[in-house]
Amino acid sequence: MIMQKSRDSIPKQQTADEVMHWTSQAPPLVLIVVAVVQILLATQGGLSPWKGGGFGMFSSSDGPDSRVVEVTGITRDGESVVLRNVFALPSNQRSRLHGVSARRLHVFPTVRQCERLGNAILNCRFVEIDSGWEALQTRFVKMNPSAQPLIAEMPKRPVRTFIPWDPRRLNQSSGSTYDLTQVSIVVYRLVYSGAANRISLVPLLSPVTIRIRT
Amino acid sequence: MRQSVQEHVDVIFRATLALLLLFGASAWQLGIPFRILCGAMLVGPQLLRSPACWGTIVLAQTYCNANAWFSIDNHKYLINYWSLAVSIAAMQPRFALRILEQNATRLIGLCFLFAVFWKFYGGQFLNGEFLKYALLTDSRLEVTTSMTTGLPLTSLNRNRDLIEFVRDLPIAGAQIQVESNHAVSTLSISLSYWTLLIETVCAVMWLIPRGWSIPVYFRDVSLITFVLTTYFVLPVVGFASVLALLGYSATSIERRRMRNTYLWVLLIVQLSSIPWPAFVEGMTPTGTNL
Repeated sequence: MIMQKSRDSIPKQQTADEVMHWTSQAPPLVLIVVAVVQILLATQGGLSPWKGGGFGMFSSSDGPDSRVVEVTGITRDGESVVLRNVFALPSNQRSRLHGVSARRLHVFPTVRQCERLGNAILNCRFVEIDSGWEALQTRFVKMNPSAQPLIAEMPKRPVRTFIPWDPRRLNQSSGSTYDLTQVSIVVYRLVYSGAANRISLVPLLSPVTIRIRT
Repeated sequence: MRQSVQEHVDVIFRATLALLLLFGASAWQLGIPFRILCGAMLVGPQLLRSPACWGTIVLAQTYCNANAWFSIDNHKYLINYWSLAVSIAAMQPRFALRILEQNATRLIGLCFLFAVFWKFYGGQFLNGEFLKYALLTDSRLEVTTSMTTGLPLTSLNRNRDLIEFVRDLPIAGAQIQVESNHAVSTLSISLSYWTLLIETVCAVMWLIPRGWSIPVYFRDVSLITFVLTTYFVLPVVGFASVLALLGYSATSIERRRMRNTYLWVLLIVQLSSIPWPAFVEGMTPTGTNL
């Protein structure tokens, strides 16, 4: 009976050892799975190779800092304006973002993320700020004469700049507020050409336009 | 006196806790519990080897890292995988040393394998383009670039100003001409091929099965060379530290000198956090202001 009991315990111990053997392989297996998923998302879905656990940091210039997000809106008067600080929404509107953040939009921009941001923006009011546009343009052309043709194509008068209105802020408690009928979001990428020593701004995602439902 | 197996495992456990305290947290929600739990485990031998404590660390780390998966650096992932390996080792004390050695070896080899994949896939290493872009635009490299290539700091500042402007005023199709010189191109090609070589050697050395007759000494030399030549140029102290710790953990208990060498490397790489460029900035060439 004792020998029978000993014989029964040997297979259980072997099973336990086998389970531990396979469990101990888990860390490298998890690394492989995460890295393969990251490769797929980066090559097919717009994820920056620097992030996501694929060990692609410092492999290309397509890091989060090389991505630029431009948000523009159209007022009820039909005027096109530039929107800044779009993630600094009033607290009662932030839930509409559903987890979209500036960082997320730079690292892994998707149409859905842009739509969520656009819908949240359309539910907010905006105030105008002084962007110093003309001075910026002049300085840019002085530093980079090749930009002159591009600047010449822009509207002659300065482009108005708006930020989200937060009535709790003292410097925003008075003055006109505006709401928007349309928001457009474009995500660009800075692309470097070593041969020409030039950095170009290239759209990474097709412009996403969100309109107020009438 | 020869270190016992349990003592050696305890050293790895403690070093891992120190790594977690310094570099493991991706947010304050993780950082504060880490300080409490890891601190308690460092001073309490029973807690140090507790599978429940290590399991708690892994679960908390995985939860926080999963929520910030798109923003955390790759070394946070690697630290997470290593914590998992340590927790498995804590669950099975009989095989702890073997589990730690095997997992450390494979994690090092795999992270270099994927790093090499990305460097070849992107193509910007084969033509030196990425490092040229980094040398011309990354503020962390401006003093190194200026000292080694003769390109004035004012030129590098102008390059960054132009990029900032394009960020503030994005215009589709906009192009900016950055300042450079021939020495930057030469330096970037040289550094690119050195990086490709050393990372490929590391990947091969650390993934080769143990049965092959290649001295393990070569793989240690390759890893230490990579850590010391890379992270003093591009300081990512967390990554350097976790690689040094993994190298230590992968070294068998009989190879005492190599284990001590890894401990020294782990300490030395902390010096890469010193803002060296600020001390030598006065030795860089000056250019005329625009």
